[in-house]
Amino acid sequence: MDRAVRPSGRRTRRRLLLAALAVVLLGWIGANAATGRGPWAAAGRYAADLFHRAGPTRDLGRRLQRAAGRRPARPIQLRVWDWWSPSTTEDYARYFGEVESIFEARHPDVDVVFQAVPFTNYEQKLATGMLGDNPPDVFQCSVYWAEGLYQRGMLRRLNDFVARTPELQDEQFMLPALYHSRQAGHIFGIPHIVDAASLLWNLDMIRAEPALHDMFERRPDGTPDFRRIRFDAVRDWNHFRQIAQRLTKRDRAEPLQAAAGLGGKPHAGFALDAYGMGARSFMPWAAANGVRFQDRAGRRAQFDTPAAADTLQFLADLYWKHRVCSPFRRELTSHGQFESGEVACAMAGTWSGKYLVRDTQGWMGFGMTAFPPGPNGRGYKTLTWANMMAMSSRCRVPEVAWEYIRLICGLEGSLLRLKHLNQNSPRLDFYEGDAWAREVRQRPYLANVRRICAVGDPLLHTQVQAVEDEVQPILEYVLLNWPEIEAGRGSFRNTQEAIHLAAERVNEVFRRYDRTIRSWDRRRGRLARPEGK
Amino acid sequence: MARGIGKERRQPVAYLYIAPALAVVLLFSFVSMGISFYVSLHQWDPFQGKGQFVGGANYARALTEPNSIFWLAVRNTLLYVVMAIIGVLGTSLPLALLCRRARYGQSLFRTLYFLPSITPMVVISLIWIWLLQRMGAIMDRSQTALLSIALVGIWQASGYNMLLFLAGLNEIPQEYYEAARVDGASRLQEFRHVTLPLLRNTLVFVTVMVIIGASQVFTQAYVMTRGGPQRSTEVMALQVFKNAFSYAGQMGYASAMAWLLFALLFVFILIQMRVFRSRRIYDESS
Repeated sequence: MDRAVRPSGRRTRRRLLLAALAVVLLGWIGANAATGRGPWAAAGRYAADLFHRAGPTRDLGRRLQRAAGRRPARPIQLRVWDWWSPSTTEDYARYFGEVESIFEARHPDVDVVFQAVPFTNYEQKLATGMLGDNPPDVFQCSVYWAEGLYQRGMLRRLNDFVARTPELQDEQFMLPALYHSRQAGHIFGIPHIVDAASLLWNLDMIRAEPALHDMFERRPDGTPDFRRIRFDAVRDWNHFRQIAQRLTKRDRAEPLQAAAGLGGKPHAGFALDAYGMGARSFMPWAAANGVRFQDRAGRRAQFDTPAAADTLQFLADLYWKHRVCSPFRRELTSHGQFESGEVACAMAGTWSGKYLVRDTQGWMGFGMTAFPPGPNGRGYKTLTWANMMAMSSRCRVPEVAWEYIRLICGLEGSLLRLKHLNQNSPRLDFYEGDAWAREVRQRPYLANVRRICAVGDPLLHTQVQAVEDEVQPILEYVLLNWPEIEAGRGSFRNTQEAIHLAAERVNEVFRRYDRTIRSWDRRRGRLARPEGK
Repeated sequence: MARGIGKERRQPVAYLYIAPALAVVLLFSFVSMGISFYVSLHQWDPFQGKGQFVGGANYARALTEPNSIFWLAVRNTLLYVVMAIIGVLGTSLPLALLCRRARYGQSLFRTLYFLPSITPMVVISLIWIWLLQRMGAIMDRSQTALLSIALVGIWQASGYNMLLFLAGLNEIPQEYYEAARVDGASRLQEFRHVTLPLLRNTLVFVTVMVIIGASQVFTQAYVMTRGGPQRSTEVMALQVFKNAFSYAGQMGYASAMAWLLFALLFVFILIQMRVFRSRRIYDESS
């Protein structure tokens, strides 16, 4: 046994020794190659770059340089966190690569260090990073946490920076994109991407219904342009129901699933999510019916209204009374059903287009609209949000971090994201340029994106997860069990009662959070925020 | 012999040998538990530092606050534990008995039944969402949703516990069965009067482990139902997680809930150990 083990142990040791030697050699070449000329020096510089860029050897390289009495080529480190990762796809790798090279070319002293952090752990890792004195200097911040992070004192105020940077003034952005990064005059983030909830329409299915051709844009010769749906294709909720009914193809003898639609393939008019999505399915429709979910300060739920109850009733009726929806499915979201061609219309977001193109290999014709106005609504509505670039309160190099934010949130950064990630921008000048016009020509489903984002009310922003955990079980119950409620056997008598309970629970979350913020403020010695009503 | 063992126990060097393991256990279990208890007495947020001392307020809130989900979560967790005990014992013991009797392919069956135990629960949950969705509305109704996640837990745990029972069964000397047969015992009587009493220790162990595992149920509830519908699968671990990591400033409350769960479990297991305590020692000399 010993005999069998010994040579393998020796081999391992030899390999380790060789690897260590290679690392040291690489470091030595790198440390010496900066000033040399010729092919060896170039190879050395390449090796040095490899050594310098690779995560595990990055700090070692700097130390070696310092130990050799040399000043590191890039003495300032800018730590950037993101949940997008260069390793996600080649597109992301190209995007981050170009951002890094542009920024470092303009700032020769700065070494941009990206760190990808999974979205689900982002908030915790940020807190841990701050506590462990290893926070990012600048990072992408979701609207989900932005307000909470700011209230915890984890974000730096950016008002002074914005004041001296004309290209990042508020008037450069569409209004709904600014909502989540400002509070009581404090700016804690600069929006760099904008998204909104939207209705996705399968244009091939609509095209197969001549009576619905009015929904398409017209070409100059008056014929319908089957690649583009009109922004105002749906007049109101009644009209939406009629369209969904027409797009639902069902065999009378069979339930909804057995329908014969496009190419003999069954499809439903609309897909409604119930499982775990109750609040998100409900809120954009409620916004289109004149309902606001919460107040600006995050102290009061504002949706305890008859209009909100009507919204929930409308959704339940679409499913149970008018039977225009595909069956509720836990294992497949409405977006997934849309993608597989089971439904003609589904709720998604303006972000979803590129994924649909990717997943259907460009074979599905689709378009997007905002939500049509309900009986109490004023015009087309949706919910809009804009993720932002933020600076941590413990940022070590604020000026450099601001320069990075300028690049990312400026027009140049927006165009980079369009080029590599097919993303639209919250910036107004972005939509005036040729690049966007070219993109819309190539991908006609983008035609309404700007208007959709612009008509949005703000997405829920205070204690998002806690609020959704309170609202979702109630709305989910109503959607799943409406026949029982209607028959008087449910937990609620009607939608108003369900909405009222949901609002009460949300208010309880807000009250608790308000107390928490006050205690934070007191401990930090800040002026406590004014008492709520 | 006994003196010899006693002597060895008094060797101070033994403490040196166990010191590294003890240090790891102390650091990662007991120190963490201590910190968690400290946190439970505070209104605490990771970024806000030490936190404000609130005494037993977090405990009081969990136990007495109107609309507190704590008691609902306790009820759901206890129900889940009961389902898990019945389900796991009801499947793994018969499987072990059958496996033991199998003349051919015993290892194959053992491997097949054990496979779910080494499959990540997240994967299992995602697969079962599809399976259960095809079976109708079992996950949609608040009356049956908990049962649906219990089914998944039982399915995963049965194979592992079957192996424990198999080991226990193999420990039972064959002579007892032969003696029982000579006395004219039926198969059922053999099981009732020989197998069950001699499996008592394994039964206690499996039951305790199932109780501990089931009372910490999280993954199925998180992946399959997120606590719904209508909070019917809102279990303790899920509530602790949500409060600790999804709601701002609720880490103290979450820790208090975790300690209450611990206390509940501790009492539960003490009672169970007392009930099942074996007074007889079955070995060849007796």
